[in-house]
Amino acid sequence: MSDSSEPPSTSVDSPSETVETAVSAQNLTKIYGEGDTRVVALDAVDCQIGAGQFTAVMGPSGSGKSTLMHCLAGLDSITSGEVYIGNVALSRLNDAQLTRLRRQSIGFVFQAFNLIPTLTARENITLPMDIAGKKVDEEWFNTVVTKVGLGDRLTHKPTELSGGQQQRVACARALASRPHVVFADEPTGNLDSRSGAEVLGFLRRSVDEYDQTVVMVTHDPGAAAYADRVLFLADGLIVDEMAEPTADRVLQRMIAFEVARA
Amino acid sequence: MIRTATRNLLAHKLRLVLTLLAITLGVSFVVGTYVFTDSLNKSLTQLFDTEPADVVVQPVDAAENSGGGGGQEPSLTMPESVTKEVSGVAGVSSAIGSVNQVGAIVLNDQDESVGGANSTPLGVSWEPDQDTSQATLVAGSPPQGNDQVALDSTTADKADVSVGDSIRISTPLKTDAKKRWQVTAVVDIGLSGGVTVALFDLPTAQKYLVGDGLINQVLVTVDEGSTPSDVATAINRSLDSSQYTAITGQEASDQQEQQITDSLGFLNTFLLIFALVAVFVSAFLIFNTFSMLVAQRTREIALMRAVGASRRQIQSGVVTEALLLSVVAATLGILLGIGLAFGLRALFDLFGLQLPSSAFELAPRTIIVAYAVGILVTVAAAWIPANRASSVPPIAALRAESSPPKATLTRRLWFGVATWVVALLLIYLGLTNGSETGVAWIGLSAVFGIIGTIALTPFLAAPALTVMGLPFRGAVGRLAVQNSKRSPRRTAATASALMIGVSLMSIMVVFASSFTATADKAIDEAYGADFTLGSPPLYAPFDSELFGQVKDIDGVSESTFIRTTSGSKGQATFPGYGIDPSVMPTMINFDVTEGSLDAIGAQKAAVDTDLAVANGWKVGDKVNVTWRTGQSEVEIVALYKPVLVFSGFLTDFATVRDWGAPAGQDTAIYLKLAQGADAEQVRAEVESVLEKYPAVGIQDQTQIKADLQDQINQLLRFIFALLGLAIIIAVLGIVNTLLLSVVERTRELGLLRAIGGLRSQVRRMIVLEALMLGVFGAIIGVVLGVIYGVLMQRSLETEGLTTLAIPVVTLIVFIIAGAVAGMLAAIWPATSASRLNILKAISTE
Repeated sequence: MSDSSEPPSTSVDSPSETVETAVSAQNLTKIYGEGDTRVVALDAVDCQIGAGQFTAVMGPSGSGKSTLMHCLAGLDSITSGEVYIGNVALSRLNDAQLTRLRRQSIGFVFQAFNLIPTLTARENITLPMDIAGKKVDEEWFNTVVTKVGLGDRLTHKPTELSGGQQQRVACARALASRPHVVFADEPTGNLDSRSGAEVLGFLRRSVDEYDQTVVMVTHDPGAAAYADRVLFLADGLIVDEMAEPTADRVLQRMIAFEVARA
Repeated sequence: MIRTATRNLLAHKLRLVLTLLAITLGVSFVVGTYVFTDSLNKSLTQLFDTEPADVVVQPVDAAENSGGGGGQEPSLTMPESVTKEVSGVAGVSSAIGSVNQVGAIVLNDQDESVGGANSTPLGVSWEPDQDTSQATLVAGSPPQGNDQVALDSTTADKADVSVGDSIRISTPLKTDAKKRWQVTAVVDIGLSGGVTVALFDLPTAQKYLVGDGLINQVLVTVDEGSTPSDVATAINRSLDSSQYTAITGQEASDQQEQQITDSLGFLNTFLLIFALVAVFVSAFLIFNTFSMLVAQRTREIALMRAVGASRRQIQSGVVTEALLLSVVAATLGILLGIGLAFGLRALFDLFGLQLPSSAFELAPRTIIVAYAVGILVTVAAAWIPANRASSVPPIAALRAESSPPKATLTRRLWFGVATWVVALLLIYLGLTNGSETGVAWIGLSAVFGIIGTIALTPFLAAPALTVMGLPFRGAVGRLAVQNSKRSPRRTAATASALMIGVSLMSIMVVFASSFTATADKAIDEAYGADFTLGSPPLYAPFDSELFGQVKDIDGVSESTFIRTTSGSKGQATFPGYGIDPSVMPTMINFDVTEGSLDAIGAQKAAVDTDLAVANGWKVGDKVNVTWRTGQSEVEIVALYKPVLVFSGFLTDFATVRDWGAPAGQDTAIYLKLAQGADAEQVRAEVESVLEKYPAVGIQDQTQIKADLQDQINQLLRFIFALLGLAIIIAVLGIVNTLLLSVVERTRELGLLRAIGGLRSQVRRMIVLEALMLGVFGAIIGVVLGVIYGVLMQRSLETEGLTTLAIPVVTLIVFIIAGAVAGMLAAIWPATSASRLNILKAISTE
């Protein structure tokens, strides 16, 4: 990772301040298949994710929002263009380097099946540090666990936890190693509204109180309203963005898309 | 339902291949065993379907069919004059004397038999009449006189000689390995391997094989118009029926065939036991595979139930799938089995057991058994999980994240405990009964013990894996331990398959070590001679001229020889030894409990204490014993404890000759050195004499021990090679379990990779899981094997297996081998787990 070039030093326009870039994509293109089955999932996307910001990525099914997240997180290879996490260019990394980058710099919350069933909640939370062979920062661990409200559930196995509790364990795991950025893929997709609100509230607080960078893919305007900024994707392109979103404004914007598409 | 079943099978090629492999391997071993033994029997039948003559006259060999000493005993002889008597009988057209004796060893440049150490070296007199001869002339002309010989074609090929070349032969009499014989003919005997045949003219055969004026058989051709059976009856009437018997050629060939079939019969049983073990282990693999397949399909099954499929339909769906699969697999198994039959033959060759191999036989019975075993085992193994799967309420399964609710293991616990209670009861019976029946009880108990242990393994799995997991501290190790503990039932079934093979091997090594330790101790205590001359391993007789050539060597203070025959009383068979009572006790330390060895003489003998106790004989009794030459009344003059090879009757040379020991042939020579004699020099001189006698070797005490050890190891290696198949199937079982669990855990592995698990870590995790499975199976196997090995020794203590020896190093090697086997099994699953596409894995529905 020594020869990484500097990412362009752009800043994201925000109403009141200038924010450093945590993750950025330049000319990011992702093409699946060949010939007749060729699908352009991302078409020369440029975007910057501000550090210490909560960014939501929205778009209808097939818009490429999950692909964008996978490419930004180094889970999927890119066809052309470049992705930077901090100042590291991902296309230059091999599989092992990417894996190390993920465990050092990125936290994940998936929609479902976030936890290893054989491990307790505590073991699941510390797993990224355990496989990296790093010592767990007990103080931070306790802070995170208290924040997500899991103090008395640490010795339970995933099957003994409710869906909301499982997602909170996943959030705790994503944050426990103090990653550069947390990616959340529809983290509330499988939850009832109350559990969903708890998870989103927790992600929000991690941004406000600990300057955590969070990128969340969602199709729920209510969830997007927790973010500082929303990127709208359609047909592999970023078509719009919105700062200081509210559920109503996001919903209106989405309806406008549907109308435009129809 | 059939369509769904076929679709299911084809949709999952990996599962298909693995399950097929399991059934195919199990079936192939059964088929291999049958084809191997059937072909062997057919080769022998072909050999004996030509009759040697219309009628055959031979000495009555009363003890022959009882098996006697175990080796190939020389055929009994009779005076040539019998031929004359026979030719005088009405209906006899011609009668010629014939010699047919073991011990004419065709030598290669290394002074070894060209047919291999365990082939039967036959020396036969040439029959002028090609119509009745079992040997057909291929090339050359009949051998004549003192320097000419004919060979069978296989032997000639192996010795790389043809007509006109010369060859060396070690003969039972007038042994001279330096003498060169001219090959004048090559004959076809319809048999390849297992036997070498050297043919001489009658006087030469007599001189070198049985002694002048002696023959083994009279071959009779009957007049036209007479039937062989009538003539045989007539001959029997005119001869002393206690000494000679006439049988028709048909009976003679049947008798020969029966003898060989009997002596090979054990092979059939022996191999079938290993086939059974293989099938048993395969059944585990199949059962395990189907359980996993069904578990993976719980949701699919639930969906089918939800849309209206009945329980019965689900069950018959799985069973149909099993049926289709098993038919294909059994067919493949038959093909592979045929290949395996050739493999077995090669294996026997490799261990120096050359067997006749001219025929190939795939009996209908073999095919029927193959399909029956393949189909029954597979369907039975599939039905249980199918039944379990169909009992899942549809809604529960559709909702559930993971596998069906865990069936309780209570019944299994009770079954395991009950089986062990039976096993313990049998152990009690075995230890209190002592002797032969005792060991049978222990053997039966071992079967129950193994089954009971299999039932109990799931309960052992969790604690054992916890302990085994202790050294694995890191996250990867912890994950591996947790994964192995996830399904105790599956871990147990996988480990059990390995356990069966390992436990059998452990029993064998404990038994073998105890046997060698006991023998070593006996040799230390009882062996007083400095050198033994003989031809191990079967102690074939050799020309007694040798004794005259070694007894006067400088430095030899005392020397003696022994001669051997065999006899029987009721079911018991035992050897009879001719010894010199004045010298022999200095060579072998006989523990005479009653009477004195000096009292042996004409029809007076010493008997070993075991035989005496078994028959209730005491010193002074006169007992009737059947020897090879018929019944004798023997007076018992002493009792001695069995020692080394010596058991049965000890008498003088004249009496043992009377009982059927070949004239002028010794089975061993014992030498004692004079005070201060140079052992190495004596040995060198003896060895120079032995150059003429390649079949005979010289051994001191250390060599006898080493030799014994070699023989035992040879046998062990052979058994291990056969058990190896069960181990291979077990390793495949580990591959299977791991692969399927990798498939089951796709999402989990994807998650692990997403949050930063390296490929190498995923790989290591799977390898550790396999390693623990392997070690777990091996440890249970070794523990069980040692328990039963010790029990076998205890039950045979009164039979003379007095020393217990547990070969710790070998047993540790077994456990390490279990670990290695596990790791080898992990290569494929671990690679496929580490290559998994993260995105696909985490998006798998």
